[in-house]
Amino acid sequence: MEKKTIIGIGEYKAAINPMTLVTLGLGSCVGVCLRDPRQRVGGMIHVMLPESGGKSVTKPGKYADVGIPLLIAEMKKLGASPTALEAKIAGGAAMFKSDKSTMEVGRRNIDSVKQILKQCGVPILSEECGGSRARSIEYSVETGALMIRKVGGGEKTEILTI
Amino acid sequence: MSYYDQIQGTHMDMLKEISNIGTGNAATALSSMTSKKVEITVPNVSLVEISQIPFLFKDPEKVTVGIPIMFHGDLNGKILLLFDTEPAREILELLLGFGNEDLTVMDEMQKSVFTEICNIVCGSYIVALSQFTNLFLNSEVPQITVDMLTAIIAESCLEYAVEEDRTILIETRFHIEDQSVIGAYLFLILEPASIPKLLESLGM
Repeated sequence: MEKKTIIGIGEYKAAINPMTLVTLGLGSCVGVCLRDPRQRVGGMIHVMLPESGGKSVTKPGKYADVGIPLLIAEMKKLGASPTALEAKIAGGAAMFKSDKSTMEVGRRNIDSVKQILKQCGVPILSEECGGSRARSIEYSVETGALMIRKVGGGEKTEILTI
Repeated sequence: MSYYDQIQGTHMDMLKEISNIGTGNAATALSSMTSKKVEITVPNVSLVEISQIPFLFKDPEKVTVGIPIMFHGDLNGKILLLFDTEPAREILELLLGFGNEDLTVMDEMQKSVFTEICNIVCGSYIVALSQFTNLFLNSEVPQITVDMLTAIIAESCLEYAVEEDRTILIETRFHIEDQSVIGAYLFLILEPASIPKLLESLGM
């Protein structure tokens, strides 16, 4: 039986293989998936907002700037090497076309995630960002494959793997 | 300290009562537009963790038509009107004379059917809310998307999540005549700072 963990909005989780990390309904939020391919340690965070503004926060996983370093620290505890990490990211859509404010949040989330990953020295292997469709994602800690589901034409679910 | 820490059972009951009045008006509007009987359920008021939104629904990835309308003034917030795909198709057929096989590719005419329904249905909700509380409320132009249910709701709560980890969701379900399933939902989502203002206006 495949082990799966669903991560809530603004939460994060590190896990050892075998494990599939899942998060549902990423709109302007960005799902960041990290993995140490040798140690088979993976992690996922569902980022809602680009930055915390330096305030003390109760849910650090909501913010890219504080959440990503915390996820890396958790993965380190499970045996991952911070220098061996690789990343895949998805999300940052603008679901409502006429809404300037949320369109900006999606874009700003993507920019902030990329900047933080760069600061942490984690290369991005692939990404599926932007557009107008929400995404659900499943990340295999074993293979590093990131499966993305979104609503496509004909109201059918479109599945792609990056 | 969060505003939500002060919320008590009596406050929740008051929010339920307000929503009852609002949705009563909204159901009448929906009924006269579709010439069908529309019944409403008792509103469900709950304080939810935003992180748990994906776990609130049986089928979080269900394709849904989502039409939010923002309002500003003495209170800030939004009303989110949701239709399942089958009733959404039926509404198009009733009002335009033809349905749509694929709601993900609606033309401007079809989109405007839904934004207009939102204007009328949610507009009457907002008027009722304004009259009952004696507060000034001004609504904006509705937006529309067809996407996964959980993403639409999460996205609608997102802008109030900057300061808060929780949100109050006030949910009412509409039952449209001849539909075997409950086909439409309405959520009132308030900016956190507007909740004490609303309760104060009611003398609480």
